[in-house]
Amino acid sequence: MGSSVSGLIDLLTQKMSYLNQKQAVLAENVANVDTPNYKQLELKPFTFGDALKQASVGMTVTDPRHITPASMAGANAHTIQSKDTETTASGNSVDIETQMMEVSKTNADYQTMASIYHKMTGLVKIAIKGSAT
Amino acid sequence: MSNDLTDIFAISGSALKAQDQRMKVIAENIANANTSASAPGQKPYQRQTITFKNEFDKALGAYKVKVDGVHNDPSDFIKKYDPSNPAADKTGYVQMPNVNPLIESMDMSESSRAYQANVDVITASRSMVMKTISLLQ
Repeated sequence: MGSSVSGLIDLLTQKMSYLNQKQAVLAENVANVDTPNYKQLELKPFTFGDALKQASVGMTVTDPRHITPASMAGANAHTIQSKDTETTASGNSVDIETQMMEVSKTNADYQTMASIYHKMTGLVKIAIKGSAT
Repeated sequence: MSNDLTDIFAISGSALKAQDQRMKVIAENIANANTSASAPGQKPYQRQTITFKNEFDKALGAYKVKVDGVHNDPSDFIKKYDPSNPAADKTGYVQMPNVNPLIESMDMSESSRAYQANVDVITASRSMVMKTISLLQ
């Protein structure tokens, strides 16, 4: 029982961290809505390769002549340029309407995750105290 | 990654500042829309234009907005027939600024919309931060 609660809390934390990053990318896009030649960015979809890197099951360096595993260079390594958005005459491809929708969706998702997190900690409290109050 | 939410304030803040400066240039243009030359042969007020550029902030790891520069609009001045004006030339024409109040007005609403969008992003992020803080309670 204990491990399933902590597993769920882990999952929620990961999701909240992802939503944080997403909100930062959206803020970047909205901030650059009038910047010429700015291309809309989005978070790279989650892939198995990334998961492997995160789980640090990469190559182990035991000799200086070994190739070091490529690390994620810079904070921008998680973002890619969005496709299928209209580019204006100034070369800007930010679609402000969908970005604002995404902002409120991210906000709502985050609130949901935080509420579930709150509920989970409440459950743990009940388990510790042995009563609902 | 933990301070992504606080990074947002810096990113959106840079956009608010840029839009602020854009609004200032627009106000300058509208205010001087009728500022003619003071003497014949002199130039009237020349319309100002502002350009933005994005700048990669290495500490944030994100693109912030920066004002690239404020330039003079090189388009022709408008000629207005007004012989009684002290700045009128021999033929009675006065050079007026190359400001079109309708263009400035459209620019102003575009700037205001972008400003509002950035404020909305800040509000949404702030509510996320507040929700995170409330988890501690």
